Amino acid sequence: MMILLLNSFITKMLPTMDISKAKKGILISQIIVLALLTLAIIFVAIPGYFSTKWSWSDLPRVPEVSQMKQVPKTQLNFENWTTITQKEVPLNNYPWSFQVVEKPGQDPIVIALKAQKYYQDSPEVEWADLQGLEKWKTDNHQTLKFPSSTNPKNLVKAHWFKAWNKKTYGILQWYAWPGGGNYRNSRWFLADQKAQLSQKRIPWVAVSLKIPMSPLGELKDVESIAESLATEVQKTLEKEVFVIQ
Amino acid sequence: MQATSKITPFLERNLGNVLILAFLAILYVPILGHWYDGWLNKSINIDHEYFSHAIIGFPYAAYLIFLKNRQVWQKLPNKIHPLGGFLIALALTLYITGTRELTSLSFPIMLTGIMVWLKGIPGLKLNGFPLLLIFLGTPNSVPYLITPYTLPLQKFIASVAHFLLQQFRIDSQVDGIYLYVNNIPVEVAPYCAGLKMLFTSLYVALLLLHWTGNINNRNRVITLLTGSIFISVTANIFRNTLLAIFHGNGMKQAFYILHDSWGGDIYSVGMLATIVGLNWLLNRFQESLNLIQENNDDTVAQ
Repeated sequence: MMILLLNSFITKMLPTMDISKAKKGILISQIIVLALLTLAIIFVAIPGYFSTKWSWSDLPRVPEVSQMKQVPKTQLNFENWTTITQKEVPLNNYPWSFQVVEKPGQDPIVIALKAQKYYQDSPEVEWADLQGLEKWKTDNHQTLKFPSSTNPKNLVKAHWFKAWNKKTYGILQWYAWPGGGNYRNSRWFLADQKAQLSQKRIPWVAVSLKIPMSPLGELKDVESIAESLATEVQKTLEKEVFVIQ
Repeated sequence: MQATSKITPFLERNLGNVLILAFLAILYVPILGHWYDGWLNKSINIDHEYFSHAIIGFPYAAYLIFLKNRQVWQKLPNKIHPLGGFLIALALTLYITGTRELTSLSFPIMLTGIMVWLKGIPGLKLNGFPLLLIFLGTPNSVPYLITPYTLPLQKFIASVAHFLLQQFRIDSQVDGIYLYVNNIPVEVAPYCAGLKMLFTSLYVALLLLHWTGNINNRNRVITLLTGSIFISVTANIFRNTLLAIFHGNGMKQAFYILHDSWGGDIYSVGMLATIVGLNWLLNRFQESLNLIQENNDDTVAQ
């Protein structure tokens, strides 16, 4: 802000001066540039030269990953849901967790999770990886919103669609992170860039819920189950996975 | 003292520019060194390598700014433009954040800002092309952000490769982005979609257009850029077809050479050479066209 004010001030002042002959070999306009560059040299470049490494040479670490690495080997507890099985499945050279849960009187639901295991890993093509595994045909694409447990005002925006191979499912997919989530990796990218401004990072877990439904049914029929389980998964991730050991 | 007597008047005349360059060097030489290290030693990540065309693009831009355009630049009137001040302030703000993405972005904005500040819009116009080369060579996260959207291109490559394999009577199937030879799948992954080579081809085509003096010839710009896209996509389909054949027949060594080793480099060089060849052909074509035109004019004149 200071710099902007200075700029407009200088621009107003300058037309009254003869800038072409301010001093031999150097113009007022050049002196102003030099003054501004000096600021960056004093406050950023010199400390950078004297530090062991430049802030831009590497990304800040993600301290949560040591806990998140356990996800493929761990059965997570979701309140009001009983777990039937949990196993680690490698998909596109990355370990996923496939956990099957159920509630009395309802068909089992598969929860697929891919948790970041290295600070340089970013969410990329997780949805295409699952598509490659399941070979779904899909239809009725829409979004479904549900609250984060640590930041209830912030709604997670998930991709909600109908998919069928041999059976028919309602599929809900999103990238979860502490206090939020979205099915687009560009949203995670923006949140992560913002965090980097204060030397922090945003850890992430890709979540995909596979909810059985009747082939002729509407997505609406299973929407409330999807929403309640999704809220529960987001809560469990925020409380038990995105933690610093 | 003889030697200094030549340098001193030059310094006296250009003191401002020399100091600005020195200050810019203090600010940006470390990150430029980091980028070049990343391109030459593949030490940063795959997204960074999307911009390796800047290895030749940056020196060419420097040549244009400091050698080719210098005299015209000096004759331009010194007129302060507030847009330049705004851009410099923006670049400084980005630089101060110290994050990888924003510090990188500050580099082309800073250069543009200083040029506009010192010489106004005529200065921007004069060095617009080298600045474009610098912008397109500055590493950023666009390649990462487009990976989820390359699926149609991946499917297209897989299905055309499948069609080619059928022509050679090789047993194959295609399912979305998966290509099966002898029932062994090869995935046409986002980074196999050939976008890196597509970007490099377009960048090299731009350099060629400028180098051969055709950058203001609109027809040539359109023809060569379209031709480069076509060459790059075709070459990539052939590459993926070969990879599927190697993989499906257990030819691990051949797969490795083309996928990760010098085979890939030869393939890239061959593709770029084809673009240079296309430009040469277009030149020849244009020459003979001009010749015919002249002959016709002569006939009319007689």
